[in-house]
Amino acid sequence: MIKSFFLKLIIIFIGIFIQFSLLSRFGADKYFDPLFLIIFIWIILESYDFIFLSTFIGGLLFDLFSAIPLGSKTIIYLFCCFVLMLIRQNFLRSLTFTTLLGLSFVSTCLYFIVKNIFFLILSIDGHFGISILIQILLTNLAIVLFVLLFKKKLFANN
Amino acid sequence: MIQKISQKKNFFVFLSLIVISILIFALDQSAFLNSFKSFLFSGAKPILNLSDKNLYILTKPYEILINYQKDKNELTSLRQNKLDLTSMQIKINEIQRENDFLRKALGLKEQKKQDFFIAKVIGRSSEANQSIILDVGKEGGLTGGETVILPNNFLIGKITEVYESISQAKLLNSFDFSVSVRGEKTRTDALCSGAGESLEIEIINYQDQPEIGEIFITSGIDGYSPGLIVGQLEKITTKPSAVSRAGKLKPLINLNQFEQVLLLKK
Repeated sequence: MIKSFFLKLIIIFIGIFIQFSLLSRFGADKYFDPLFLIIFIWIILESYDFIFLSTFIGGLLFDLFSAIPLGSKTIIYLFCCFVLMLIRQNFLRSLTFTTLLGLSFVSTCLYFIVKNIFFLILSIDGHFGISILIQILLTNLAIVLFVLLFKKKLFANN
Repeated sequence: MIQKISQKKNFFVFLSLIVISILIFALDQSAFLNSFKSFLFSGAKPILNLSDKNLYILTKPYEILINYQKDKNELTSLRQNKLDLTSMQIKINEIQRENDFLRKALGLKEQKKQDFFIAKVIGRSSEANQSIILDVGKEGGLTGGETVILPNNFLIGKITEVYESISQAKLLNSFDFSVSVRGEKTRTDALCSGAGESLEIEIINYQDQPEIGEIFITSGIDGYSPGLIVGQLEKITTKPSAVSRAGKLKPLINLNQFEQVLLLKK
């Protein structure tokens, strides 16, 4: 259990590192969110140990480095993580490629809509322009890539 | 049964963490967490600096590649402008000399030269590109409210929060940033405020006729040094019923790409 927590923390740190060092250099940080992707992957792999605590720490670190009010992105990550977990546990016990793609699309839409509404309320930078479509598309592409890479492991039970 | 217990436990953990997050958010809004944030930043500073240096080697070739065509076009136009600028520089030098002579003749004091700090950008708001974190803080002599500029006189923003070893600056395009500006050619006075990707201006005098493409600079009436470049007029919107006119400014610099800035002392 503890090992799993530390592993999650390391993954979170790597995600944060990629977000703020590599992606921000290319200007891609606006369109892509590694932390959300990490949470989504944990959900589809059913790795629920310390998932909320890791999400909480990751969210706080994200808020800290991105100079937005501390706790704002944390709330969004936690909310999305909870909703996704509920869907996965109650409606998608066994995954197929199609259901996974559906879950991926629903979750990215949920995440970006919740995020942008919340940011609009906070007057940070909520927007519903073309960039939200790019965000959803890129995240889904990354998920499809991950699924194709780990197809055997993911659908081993089916 | 086990699943239900596990779900209940998860829900309880989720609820507790949401409450903690809301509490942190509220405390942060009322600046209660400044010392805590300062502590976290001091710890993260070496890591951020290290990652910045190392990753620059990785990303440099990519940046060169995507900027190649842009740089080529820019070079051509720069060559064209060079000659004009040289003759203009000679004229400016002449005017400067004449100005100095007249100042001496009239007994006017020399304008105070502003002191500045040099700061490195160690973090930026990835969500909105509206604020940056700088590696200079109270220890470096900052007090808050310093103007953030680039060496070529472009206004970037203003220091809003100062911690022990770092500080936070709101960028020009931030929604709660505003500065008084003036058209370089037509001397149109306006109030400029951030609007996310671009900048919005409200022209104070309805009679003023700014030109599209005109450069807007700080007017200096609200505490910012005068003459700092803010942006280029892209669009003017006039509503028949409105008392004032609005417009859109395009920042002439990419607010996402600079790595070092100058901080003008108050």
